[in-house]
Amino acid sequence: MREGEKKSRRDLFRNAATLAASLGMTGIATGQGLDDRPFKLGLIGCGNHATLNLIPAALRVPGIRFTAVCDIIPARAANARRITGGGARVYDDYRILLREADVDAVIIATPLLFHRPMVEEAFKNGRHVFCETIMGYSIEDCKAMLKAQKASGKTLQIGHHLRYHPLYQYSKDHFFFWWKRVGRTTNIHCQWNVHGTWHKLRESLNGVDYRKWGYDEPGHVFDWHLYRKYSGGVMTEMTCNQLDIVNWFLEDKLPEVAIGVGQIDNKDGRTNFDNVHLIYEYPDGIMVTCDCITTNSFSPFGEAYVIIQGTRGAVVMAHLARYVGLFFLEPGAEEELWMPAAHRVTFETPNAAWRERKGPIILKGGASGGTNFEKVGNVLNITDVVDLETAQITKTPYQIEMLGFKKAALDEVKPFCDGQVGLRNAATILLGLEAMERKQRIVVPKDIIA
Amino acid sequence: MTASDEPRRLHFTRFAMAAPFEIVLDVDRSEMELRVIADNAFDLLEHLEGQLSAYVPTSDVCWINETAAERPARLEPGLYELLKTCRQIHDETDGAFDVTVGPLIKVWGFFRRQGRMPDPAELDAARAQVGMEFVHFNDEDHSVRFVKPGMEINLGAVGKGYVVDRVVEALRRWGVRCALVHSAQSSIAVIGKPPVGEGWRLGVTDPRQPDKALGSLTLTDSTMSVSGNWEQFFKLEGKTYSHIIGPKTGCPAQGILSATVIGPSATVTDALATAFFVMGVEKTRQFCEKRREIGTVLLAGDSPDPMSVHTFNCTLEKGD
Repeated sequence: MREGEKKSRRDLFRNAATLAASLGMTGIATGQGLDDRPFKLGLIGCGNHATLNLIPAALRVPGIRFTAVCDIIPARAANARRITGGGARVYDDYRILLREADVDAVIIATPLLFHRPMVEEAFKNGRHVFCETIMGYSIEDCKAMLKAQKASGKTLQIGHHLRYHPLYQYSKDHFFFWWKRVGRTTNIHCQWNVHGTWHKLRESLNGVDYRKWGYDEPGHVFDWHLYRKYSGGVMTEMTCNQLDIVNWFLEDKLPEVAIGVGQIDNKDGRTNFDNVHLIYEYPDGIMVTCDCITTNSFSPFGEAYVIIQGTRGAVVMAHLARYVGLFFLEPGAEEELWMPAAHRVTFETPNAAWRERKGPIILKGGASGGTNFEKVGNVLNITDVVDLETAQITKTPYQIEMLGFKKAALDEVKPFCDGQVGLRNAATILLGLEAMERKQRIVVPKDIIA
Repeated sequence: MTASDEPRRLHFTRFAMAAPFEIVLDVDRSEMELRVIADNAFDLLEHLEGQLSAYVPTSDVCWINETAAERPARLEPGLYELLKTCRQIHDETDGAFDVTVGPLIKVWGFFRRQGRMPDPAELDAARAQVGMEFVHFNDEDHSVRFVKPGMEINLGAVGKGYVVDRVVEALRRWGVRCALVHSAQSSIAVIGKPPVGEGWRLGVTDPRQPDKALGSLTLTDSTMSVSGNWEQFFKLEGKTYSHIIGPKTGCPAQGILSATVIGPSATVTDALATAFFVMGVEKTRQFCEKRREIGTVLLAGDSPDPMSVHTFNCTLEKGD
């Protein structure tokens, strides 16, 4: 018996089915009928994330129609109207949209500072809410949003899209949580390194009264993520995604301690750190490290990744333009029957320790696009759990989360990433930020999210 | 001219769509501003690759292929217009350009870049699933529907051109007045003209010596696309089979070594370069007589015959 008790295959299959149901996938994924019930959406915040990721994903969901869009920048609102099909009414004030528009629900994809007032206003007007990550600017904001949601009885879903990604689901089930192929986990490392200034191109404001919306300067309307007044920078806009995977894998337990250092490398007046390094102590002796720098994108596994390291092996989950998963078995660890035939990467290295180590098994995808998820079934020869995979192959994580949001709102069921999930992720991020800003070791109070 | 008088350019490169994608910007503002422009352009590039690629299982193209035979697939307007353009070029080239050749690309092994000879039965089955006329468009909700099951769209013959167009459109919107953008040198667009010279001189590759230029074309505010047989092909019993497949015959096109097309849109020139490769010299000549805005250099010949050079509506300049 290897270290770390393995769950049974039946348990795993049951888990997969439960997950599929909670994602609102059962009908569409299994071909049991199309859920084309109408669902009218309003979009608040028409920036790149909304137009490049959320709108295309929502348009793939049968029954979803955008009836209202809102942005203080007229060109952005007009663009969103165009790509949502041309029928949406355009607003420049979210409060009017929430009061007057013919919408069942709203997507909030605005700077972090505005999440709380917009979510509260949406619930006050009886709308379901999909709010982008992280949930709130502060833990207090998150709690207030949850309170407003509870009072309204409407759905609140937070946009932790990586939880809907097959690579992470698969790795969680097969290598960490259920089958524990990595053994006893002691360390998790996550990283998102980029090379760039992170400035966004400025568009015409056409006389928009930016101060009315809380911006100090016109440039801040576009580069809000660089300034602490509006956001926590790379922590709240980038590494929050990887840290959410950590929280999910660890059953949404909060860290017990947060330590961190941060600095600003781009000396252009920004007030948010763009070079951050964090250590979290989680329950059960798991140490989590998290880095993000913006001066150099080098990393062993693409720009962004999460690595789970256990006593038997390590699993790498990398996702940006491509999805790549790798499983490194520790030298000397017992192989399972399927492993010798699995597709491996071979290394040429003078390092003796690495020569002993067999090349990692490819879990997903390929760097050149030459392989795809279909390989998973062949590589691992596990047919009973691949059903969930194949059902999702052609759906983007955003698409699955939109499917889930529609189902949760219309059927009044708990969404997969609800406000509690959002609160815990936000608390993790904000505590790390606080540790860096105060230059202190933060011991997380047990009742911090009570 | 002294070194300090020479125009300075910055080169930004990203690997996308299985090929290097490069943006060359003249230094008319601070390097940081140019870097921000390039970064934002690459964000767009990454998004478009995720939308168009037949190799990314979550792409819009894969999603269309999965769903459009069962129900209409609503598309983002840009992609919808691209498919309509593809339909238009299909009609104008009498079907020589057809993005529904996906099943044929697969049976010939080019999808995995492992070319092979299919057996006649699988070739017939694949050919039966090809035909742009079986794609129905709905302008009301920007949706497409396949009226035959098993159809597959593959935008390999037009995607790079489309991406170049979209990036150029963005660069112009961001105030860029002088730039060159290319995807693997097979689809190229230039903005304005360089500070020195009458325009951007772009080489036309000699397909029999791909590291050499046969001549050059000078472009300003224009695009150029190239389809050639020297990058993807396989050989069987002494015969070379190119990756460009005739939609009607179902077989790799023969007789043309490369087609270079210049025109106002890289989407169009990319598609026409493939179409002309399939159509051959005479039909291309007839097409270009009607469309004077389209310039073409066709290099024709089957080894060991000598290569013939055919130019329509443009002049191939000699030299490097």
